Amino acid sequence: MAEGRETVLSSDAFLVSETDAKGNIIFVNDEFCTVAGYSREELLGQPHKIVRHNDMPKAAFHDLWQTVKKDEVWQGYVKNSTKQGGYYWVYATVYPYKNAKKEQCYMSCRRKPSNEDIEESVRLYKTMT
Amino acid sequence: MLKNLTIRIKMLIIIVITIIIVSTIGLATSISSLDTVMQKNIQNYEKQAYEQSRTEMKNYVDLAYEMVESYHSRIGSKALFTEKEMKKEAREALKHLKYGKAGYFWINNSEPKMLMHAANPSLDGKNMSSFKDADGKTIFKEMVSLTNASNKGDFLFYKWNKKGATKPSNKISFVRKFKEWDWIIGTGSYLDDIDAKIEQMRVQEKKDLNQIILKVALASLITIIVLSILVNILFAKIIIRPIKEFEKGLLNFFKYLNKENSQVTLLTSSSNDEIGKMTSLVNENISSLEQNIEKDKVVIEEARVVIGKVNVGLFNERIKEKSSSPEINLLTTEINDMIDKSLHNLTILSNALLALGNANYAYEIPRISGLTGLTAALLSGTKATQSTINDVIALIDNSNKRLSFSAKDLRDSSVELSNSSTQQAAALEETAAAIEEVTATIQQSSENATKMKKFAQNITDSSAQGVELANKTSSSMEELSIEVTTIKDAITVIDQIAFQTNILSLNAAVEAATAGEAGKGFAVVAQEVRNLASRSAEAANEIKSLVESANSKAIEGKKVSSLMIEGFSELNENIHTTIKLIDDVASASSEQSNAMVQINDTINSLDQATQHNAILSNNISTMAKSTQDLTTQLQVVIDRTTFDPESKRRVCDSEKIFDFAKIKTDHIAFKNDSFALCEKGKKVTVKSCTQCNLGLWMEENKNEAFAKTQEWQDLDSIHQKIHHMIQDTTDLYRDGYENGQIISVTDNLEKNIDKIFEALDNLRAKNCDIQFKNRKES
Repeated sequence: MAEGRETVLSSDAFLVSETDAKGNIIFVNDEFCTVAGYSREELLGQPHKIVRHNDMPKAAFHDLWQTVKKDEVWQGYVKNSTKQGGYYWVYATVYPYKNAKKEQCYMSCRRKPSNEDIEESVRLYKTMT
Repeated sequence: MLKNLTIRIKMLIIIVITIIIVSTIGLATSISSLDTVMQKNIQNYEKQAYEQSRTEMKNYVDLAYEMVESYHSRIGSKALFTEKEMKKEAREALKHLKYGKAGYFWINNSEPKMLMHAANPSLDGKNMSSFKDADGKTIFKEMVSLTNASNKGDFLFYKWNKKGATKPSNKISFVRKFKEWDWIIGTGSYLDDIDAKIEQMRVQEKKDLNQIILKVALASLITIIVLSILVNILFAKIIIRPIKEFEKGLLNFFKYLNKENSQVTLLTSSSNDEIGKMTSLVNENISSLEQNIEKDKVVIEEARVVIGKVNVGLFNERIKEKSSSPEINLLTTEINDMIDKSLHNLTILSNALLALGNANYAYEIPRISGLTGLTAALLSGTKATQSTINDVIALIDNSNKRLSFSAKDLRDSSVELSNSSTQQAAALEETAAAIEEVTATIQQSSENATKMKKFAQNITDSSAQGVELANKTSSSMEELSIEVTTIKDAITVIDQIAFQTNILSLNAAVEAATAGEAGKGFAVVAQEVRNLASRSAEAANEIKSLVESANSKAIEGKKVSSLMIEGFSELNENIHTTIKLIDDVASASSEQSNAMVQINDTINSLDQATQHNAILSNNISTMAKSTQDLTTQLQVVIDRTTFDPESKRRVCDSEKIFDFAKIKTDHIAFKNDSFALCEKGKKVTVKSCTQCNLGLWMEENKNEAFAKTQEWQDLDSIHQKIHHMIQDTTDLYRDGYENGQIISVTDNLEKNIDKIFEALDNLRAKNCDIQFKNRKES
């Protein structure tokens, strides 16, 4: 498969996004926009899978949604795609919570994973479907 | 700039500006109407001049047209002139036809091609279709379309270079088409002359106007000065004074607002104009503000009282007074809400602590959703304390139960020991008696041995005599044997004599038989002799066998005596051995006797020890009894507490209770420390999950059996999450995220702190399971 350019996050990168219960983006911070290559307007209201990379196995997201729907925190390594067709790896922590209007929301905080963790994840995801 | 001016100056400025604007507008309007009139005059003049010029041009072109027409009429009527000749003549005629100062004609056709140009013959014969004037107008093409549209001809405005001029001038032309020949006949006139005249008129007009402006401006200036003085005097009286009063009243009010005055006085109103209305409006507002401030004072006073109570732990009052300010009401609602929530949280915490105080250690401390930070730390700290108490009590319970069994066993054993000691003492007494008897027996044995030794000595003497006798017997037997041999020789002689006698008797019988009857008597004698010989042989044989028997008996006797000697020598040896044995027995007896004395001593001390033991075992029994009583009391105490029975599953390793309790409280402290550093705009780098005490402990223990379990994996995963969540919280704080976003993380963080407590307990239970299994297998 043709691979786009990899964006490597800075060591103190802190990418934040929020979605509603359906997975539509309701908040993104500037760093997320910069890394993903989209403007805020392009992302807001879009389904979060807009940044999903094809290499990510479906099972990983299935696990993510099952975990957060149980009202538990999910953590894992995720390969995301950029608007320009490149990709970047993050270590994501997804928090389920209810906002002031008691609506279910999900917030994801992402950081730079270590190279060993990325290699491990690449190997693992290759064995998954 | 305007801001710094007083109203008086501002008003003056306004008046001056107004006068200036009014006079300017008046002036402008007059100038405008004057200008319009003058313009109209100029336009009239212009119109007339142009009209005159046009009429002239039209007349000249009509004349030329008629001329050409006359040339055309001459063709064919009398056939004197050809068309070509007539055209040529007509062209020549128009070429030389001039009017006015510089009026001339030209002819072009519909191509359009210049057929004749009186002023510029170089254009003759040229195609003019692409000819453009200075404005880019294709003027000859337009002429063609104008003349096609109107038989009577038409006017056309354009620009044309005057002869000898470098700049194009405005020009108007009249063109009319002579259809028969397709000739467009035209003449033009430059508008310069008219324009110059108009320009002169305009300059004059401007001069006149300037004079008017100057006069008006002067009049305005005088008006401004007069009016300013007038207005200034009036203004001070009508407006400035009331405003000053208004200002004074307002200042008074603001002093009240700023707490410089305790009472507010209303503004004095002297008129019904705008200032008067404003004053009464302000007065209304002052009154309502005063009321609101008084209301706020009441609310704040109540809040102060309520908060004062909350500060000392009384949560039963709420702020009930309402303010007119929605912001203050929002604040009081928030304060009341804070008191409600704090009361709720503290009640839960207090209930938990009371339950712990009542020794209900199994009390389930509820989770408070959304709670984090220090308050959550109080609750999780209480949980950690509860868990440690549970573990310690479970350990005490386990140990006490075992101790209770041991104390019972000890008591039973000590009673048994006491009984055994008594029995032992009795047995020892019997043994002492028996030993005395044994000692007596040994002494007798010793005496007997001495006697036996004497007897053995005697036996030795007897045996020496026996040997001597046996030796004598042996030599007698030898002698006897020699004698017997001699007898045997003698018997052999006798036997030989008997044999010879027999032979002789036989010979005598033969002789007697030969002698016949005479010899009959003799034969009888011979027979008798023969009988005697055989009886002698028989006797000799018997003696021989007797002798042989005697001989063999003598040999046997010798053998026996040899054996006897041997026997005596053996006997001698045996006696020696016996004597030695008896000596041994004697010395052994004496040793035994000594030993017996020692045994006696030992038994005496054994007896003392046994008595001592009996006392000790009694003491032990008493102690075991009191231990048993203590364990029973302790068990009563333990049984009066309620503790988590699950704790029993994880207290096999008592050291780990405190290790794990430390790990738990470390994480509460770690969270508190990290949260205390949280500040907007400040980067806080939280310890990674391998750097904290739990991380270090996990690294140390990663090769243990319990590290290969699912419980370990769960602990590891939750631990990592907690560190990420704390880092996320500090970063969200740093970047100024909203409370809701920060709480979404902290709420999940608190859930996971509860989970890590569970995971640690589960791991410890698992560790105990493994240890138990290993012990069972080994």
